[in-house]
Amino acid sequence: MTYFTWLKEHGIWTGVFFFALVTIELFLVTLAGSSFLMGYVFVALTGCFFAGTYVEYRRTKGYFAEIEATMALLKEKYLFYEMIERQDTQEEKAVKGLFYEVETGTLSELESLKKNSEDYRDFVETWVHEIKVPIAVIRMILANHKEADNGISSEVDRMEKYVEQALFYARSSAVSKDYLVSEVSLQKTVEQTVLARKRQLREINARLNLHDLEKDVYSDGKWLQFMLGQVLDNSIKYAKGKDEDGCGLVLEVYATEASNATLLHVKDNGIGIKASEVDRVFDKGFTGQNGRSGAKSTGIGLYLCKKLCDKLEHGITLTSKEGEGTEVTFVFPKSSMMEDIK
Amino acid sequence: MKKIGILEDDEAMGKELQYYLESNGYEARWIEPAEYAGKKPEELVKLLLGENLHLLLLDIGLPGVNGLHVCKEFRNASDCPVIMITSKNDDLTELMAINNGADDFVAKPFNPQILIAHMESVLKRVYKAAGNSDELHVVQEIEVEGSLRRQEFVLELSKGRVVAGGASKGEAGHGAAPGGVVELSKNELQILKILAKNQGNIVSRDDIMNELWDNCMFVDDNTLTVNMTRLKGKLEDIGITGAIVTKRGMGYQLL
Repeated sequence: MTYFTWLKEHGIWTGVFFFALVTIELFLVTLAGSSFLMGYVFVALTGCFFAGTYVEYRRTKGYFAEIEATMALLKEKYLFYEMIERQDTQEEKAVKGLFYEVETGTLSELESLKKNSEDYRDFVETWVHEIKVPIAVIRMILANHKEADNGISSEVDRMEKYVEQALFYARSSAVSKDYLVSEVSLQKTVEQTVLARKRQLREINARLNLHDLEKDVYSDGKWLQFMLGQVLDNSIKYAKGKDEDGCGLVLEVYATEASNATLLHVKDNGIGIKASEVDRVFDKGFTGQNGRSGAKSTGIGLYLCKKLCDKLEHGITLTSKEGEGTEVTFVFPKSSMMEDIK
Repeated sequence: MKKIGILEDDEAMGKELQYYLESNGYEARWIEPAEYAGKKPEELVKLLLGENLHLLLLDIGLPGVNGLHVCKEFRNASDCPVIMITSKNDDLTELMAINNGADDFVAKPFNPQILIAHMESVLKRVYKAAGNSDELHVVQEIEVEGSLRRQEFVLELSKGRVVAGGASKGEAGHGAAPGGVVELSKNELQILKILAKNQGNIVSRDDIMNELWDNCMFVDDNTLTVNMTRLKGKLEDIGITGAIVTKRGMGYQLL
């Protein structure tokens, strides 16, 4: 907005001013006033007009510059109302009033969306607990009738895996915090995660090398187990196949200490990921070449890991070399506060 | 025989679990929801006390009563250990279970073998004095060139070693055991324990590996072969020869 455009948009004032100026000048002519007087009136009135309008233009411009700057600083734009301080004129008050409407409207809409999403999360959460009962019963029946298995167990494993994913997907997108950060033993978590995949790992005769895991980190045990499980599932899924020793997968899981974090490494000797695809593995729905050819992939596992890690304030990175293997590293920052308590 | 109580509202689950525990050498009693329908937790606890259980498997979500509350009440009245079972697998629930006096926590759907492993470790901890299973005494009579040779050794589980004992009382000249002590690795100890518990029977490689895995020793085929060879070698070092026989294609047998 320039002064000229402002003047153009307020053309009515210019019109009124010129009409008044011409009227006065004509009046002076009929009264046979001196040319000095006519000149003085012209200069004085024109000067006053431009000075007045310019001040008004500056004021308006200043107001907008101020609120635009405020808006730019604001992350949640709908909270703008709270941030408008200036309301010197009726117009400015009206603007603030309008933003009040915007804010209350948006907030109530947000609130209902939030509630919907919480309701949905609760439903999924309940549903998952319900579905686990028949799965548990199937497990028991199979344990009692081993002869009737015919591969049902491994299908039940798959079912359970998808059910878990649904649960953690719902948890990851929930607004509220439903995890419990406490001291978690890496040894125990890794062992339990591996044990839950006994059948799959033994089927491919995996060679496991778990070492240096006698460390505690601050995390949510169950969440960590889930994330670790996703990574192990990938290692199993994208294993190379049995080598001359009959070993289908070499898996190394170990922890190291960095200056301000504990790192948990999960390293396999699987088929690896193309260099051009490594950067996108944490994207939702990204399957890459491996996921499209051969083992079917949903592109959800690592995405969820990343999301849950973000919530827990852990880091997660992946490096891979096609044909050689993949390494996923979880980073657990050491909190100085937690150390102090210890 | 240990008596296990099952407090579980799902009928199919209760029945299958009872059957499974019975076929794994426990006396199991599924307490049906009908038995405590409409009763107060205190009355349910009284019912449980009347059963003289060695261990209670307790589902958190019971009809009409809160499993956590039952756990606390039962724990106040009895020393019987409790394992909580729940499909709500999160840290908070686990913490609440432990805070209410549960000895252990198993999430549904569990691997039945893992449940047994949890039960065994709780039972072992609580009834330590009764079941003196820290030492396994093995006596063998091995046929050598037509005559029987007797050898003995003791597997000390907590010390992780084997003590050769009772020097050959059989034919003189056949295996006068030098005697001695040998330390075993975690894997070797577990393998020998499995074989000793099934002394005289052939145990398949698959069964051995399964049990090793359930105890968080994640071995593959090769490792098992290596462990087995080492174990035999260590036993021979202290004069226990020919104790373990490899049955090709079937497994191993402690004579």
